[in-house]
Amino acid sequence: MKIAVAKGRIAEKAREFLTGGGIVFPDTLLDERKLVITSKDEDYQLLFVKASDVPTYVEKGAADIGIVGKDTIMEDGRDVYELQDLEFGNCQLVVAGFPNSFPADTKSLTVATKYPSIAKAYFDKAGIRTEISRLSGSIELAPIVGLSEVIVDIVETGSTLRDNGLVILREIAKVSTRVIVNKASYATKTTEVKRCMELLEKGVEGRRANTHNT
Amino acid sequence: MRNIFQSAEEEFEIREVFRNSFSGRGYREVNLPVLERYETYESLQTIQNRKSLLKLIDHTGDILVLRPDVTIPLMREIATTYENLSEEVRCWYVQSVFRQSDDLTIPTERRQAGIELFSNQSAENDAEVIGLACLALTELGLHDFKIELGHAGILHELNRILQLTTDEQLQVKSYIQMKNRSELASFLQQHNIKNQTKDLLLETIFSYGEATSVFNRFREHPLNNQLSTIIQHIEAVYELVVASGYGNHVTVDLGMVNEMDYYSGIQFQGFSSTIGKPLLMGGRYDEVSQNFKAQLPAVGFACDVEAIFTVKTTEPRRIE
Repeated sequence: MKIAVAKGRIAEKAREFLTGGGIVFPDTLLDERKLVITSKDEDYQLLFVKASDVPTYVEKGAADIGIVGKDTIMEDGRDVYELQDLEFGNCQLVVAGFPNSFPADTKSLTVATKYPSIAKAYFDKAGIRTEISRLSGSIELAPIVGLSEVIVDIVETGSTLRDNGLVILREIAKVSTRVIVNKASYATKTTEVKRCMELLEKGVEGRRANTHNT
Repeated sequence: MRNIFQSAEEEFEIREVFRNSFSGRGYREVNLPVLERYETYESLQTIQNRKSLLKLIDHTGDILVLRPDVTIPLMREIATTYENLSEEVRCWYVQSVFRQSDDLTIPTERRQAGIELFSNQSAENDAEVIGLACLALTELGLHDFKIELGHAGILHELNRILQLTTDEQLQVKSYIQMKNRSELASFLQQHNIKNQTKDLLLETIFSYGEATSVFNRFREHPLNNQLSTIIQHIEAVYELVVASGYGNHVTVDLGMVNEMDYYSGIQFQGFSSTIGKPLLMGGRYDEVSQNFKAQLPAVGFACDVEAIFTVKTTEPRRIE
């Protein structure tokens, strides 16, 4: 099984879950230059890729499984299965801006975002005309310098918004880390994929039990 | 990427395989026009599919499209010749289709090789086409493929039970298409679906895998009549495919959703472990002919020629 994981926190968690299920990886994850690690039994390979590339690896079948945030999955709209919610990396995907910048009778808006597809789909559905600027970081700056009236972004604690005088105006979706699977892998390696899902599920349950105890 | 010589050789090979495999069984090769009237597709396809059409305007100002599939033009041609199904008609083809995609890695022109059987719905007819799909792949030298078997009626029945708005139906369809059990479960909960119905629906939709175990599970469950009939039909088709010797290639996916929303009965998709996308797709589409004022139930499949030769020429991935 080839598993593409978003570099960083998701990669560490994914390895933690798999290790919890008895899959042993050599202790090299901290080596940042390593792009692939193989489990000791050689049944599993973790591929470390950029978060936004995970759905591409999975849809094309370069990886059987991918572990990545729901926001990336929604933005990319790839033809893959989404089999599990790993219940970490929880945050909200929101419309934010200065208070009163998105009144109920809004007809048109300027929007800055890392998620142009999600933003367009959301505002189209609400019947609001938009002019969308695609940014790749420091989205909160956009309303401050007048680049846009609102932003569409993920929010974890909301402190960055608050520090910049912005507030959440609407919630678009709840985001957490999900497991996606290539359709051909699911058809031709059903047993292996299902076993991997069970391991990850155990990891989720273990974590749930832990948070209960503390 | 393949060059112009390989491409021609491949087309010759697939034609040979199709001719040898199917002509003895009453299938005849067809050739179809490349240009179609836009109106043919305007009424048939969803907005998403209409965007993928390649359009051009002729000197009278009429809009034409490069055929995006073979099924629809072939149905139109057959419908002008036969209004009703007085006899069964069997066709095969190797033809290019044209669709544009936002994904620039997908070529606009792709070749499809397929068959269509114009016949009444029966397990025998459905199984004939699925068996021939397996035969064609085997004759082309593919061995590690799987055919997933599903049924369009399951989603229709689900929509009937749940009484959802059009937006909600799309939402539910996308959850099922992504096999997103947890979000579909919470959607059903929010819509006050009774727990028992909810569990039964989830159980049905997410049934996947080895055929007999899926069918056995459903014998123990009290399904409604519609769903029971559908599952019995899939089972009958499966048994016939097993009898034709391809049972080990077939797996059941009761939650199969196809982008082509004209399917009305059995539907199926073929995959190989070597590439990530489907090798072939097919199913029964009994209502399409009504658009051409005819009653011509039909079942068929189309292979992606490029995908098949990619599988044939790619080294199998390292055994994991």
